[in-house]
Amino acid sequence: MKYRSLIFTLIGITLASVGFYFLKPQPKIHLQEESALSMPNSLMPELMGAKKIPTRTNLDPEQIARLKELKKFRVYLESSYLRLPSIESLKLSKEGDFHHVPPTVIESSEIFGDIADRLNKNSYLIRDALKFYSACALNEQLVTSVRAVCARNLKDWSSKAKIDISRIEIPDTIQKIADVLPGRN
Amino acid sequence: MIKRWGFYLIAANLLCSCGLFKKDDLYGIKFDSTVPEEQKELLVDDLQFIGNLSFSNVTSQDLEKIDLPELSPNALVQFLVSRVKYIVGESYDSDAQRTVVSNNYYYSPTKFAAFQSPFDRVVTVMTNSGSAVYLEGKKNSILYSVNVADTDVLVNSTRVGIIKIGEGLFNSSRLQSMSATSTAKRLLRLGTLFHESRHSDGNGSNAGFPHTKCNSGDFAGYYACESNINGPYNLEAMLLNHFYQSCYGCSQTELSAIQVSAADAASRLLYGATRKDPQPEFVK
Repeated sequence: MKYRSLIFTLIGITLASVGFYFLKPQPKIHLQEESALSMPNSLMPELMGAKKIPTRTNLDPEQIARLKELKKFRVYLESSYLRLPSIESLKLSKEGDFHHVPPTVIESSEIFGDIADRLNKNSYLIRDALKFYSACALNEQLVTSVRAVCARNLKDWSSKAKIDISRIEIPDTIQKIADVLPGRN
Repeated sequence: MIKRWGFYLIAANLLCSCGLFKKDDLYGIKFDSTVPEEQKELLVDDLQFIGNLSFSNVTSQDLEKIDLPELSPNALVQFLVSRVKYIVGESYDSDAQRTVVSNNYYYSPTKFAAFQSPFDRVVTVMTNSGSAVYLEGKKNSILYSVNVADTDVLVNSTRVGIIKIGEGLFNSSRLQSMSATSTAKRLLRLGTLFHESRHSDGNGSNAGFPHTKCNSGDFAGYYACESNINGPYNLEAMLLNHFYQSCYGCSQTELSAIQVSAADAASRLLYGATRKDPQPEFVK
């Protein structure tokens, strides 16, 4: 009799424990969007896999237009990033003796100019542009001068938008060149 | 009365044919017949454009790069005219135009011995043709003269100042949105011209301010780097930074083109670069 009640008690305690465990509210997994700026030294932050902008019904026309513009800008940044001249492409090009600035390098100014035009028009694009500039400045496969221009733009636009970029560690060799370049301000 | 007007017309025609009304002798810089007319016009306008430049926030480091007491349009013109005397076109063949003045010519052995460089072999990229011919003569103990712009010029210094220009300097297809006459293009060409003019300076191992071989980086293996803080690349980078400020009304793409070019020039400077004596060398 004694044993039976003891066994029932133990079973009861076990069931109660199991029940408590399953009924306890589970901690929610917080899926926070990682910013490129929070992973400063990754070569290709999530810029290249930019998330889709959710369609919402409760947005006003201005917000919808902004989101559309942002989406368009992200697509533009993705394709532009792939057009930036790499060291490899420079070596493969047969366009000269490298005495003066190679044509592929100077052609990248169209990208930088275009981005600057868009940012001057729509300042809400700056954050995405900063991801582009940081990815470019940190990408060791790109031409040094282009990386330096990216680093310079990163500094100028972040300062204009008052965004802290101190966590992005630009290599000294790049930063040194960027520091002597003329700024946009 | 008619006779007098006839006389005036003939005089005016004569003056024109003598080149007095032509643009091609600005600041005493002579253009060889190999330079296409449209290139000549663009370059003359570029030279005149120097007068529109303004300079602010000039630092002592900037002045050290160009060895001038000040940065002003006048100082830059003086810098240029003492280093650029002739401009020749892409088809100009300096080998065909040169003649030997003296074989076994004695160049200063002290300076010549210093031709070895700690940065391996040094060569001058042949866009400052005068400097290149002088260095070749010096290397082979031959004194040359070259025929340029219908003149026989004795090549007895890096300062002979014969600059060869090519289509690449004017090719607007490099940037579709920039025309050859745009302010930014003018400033970029001037940057290149000042770069080349620096190759007219230097002495001994540094005669012609030659470029050095890049041991690593984007241009590894090419003679496209610089070991002098006052050499052509660093000078060009410094000037382009100031030109950027003078690019009034320029588009963002044009400003970026100057910025990218300045970055390219600045990226050529090797670690441990030092200031070199810019005094040119002469032989009698």
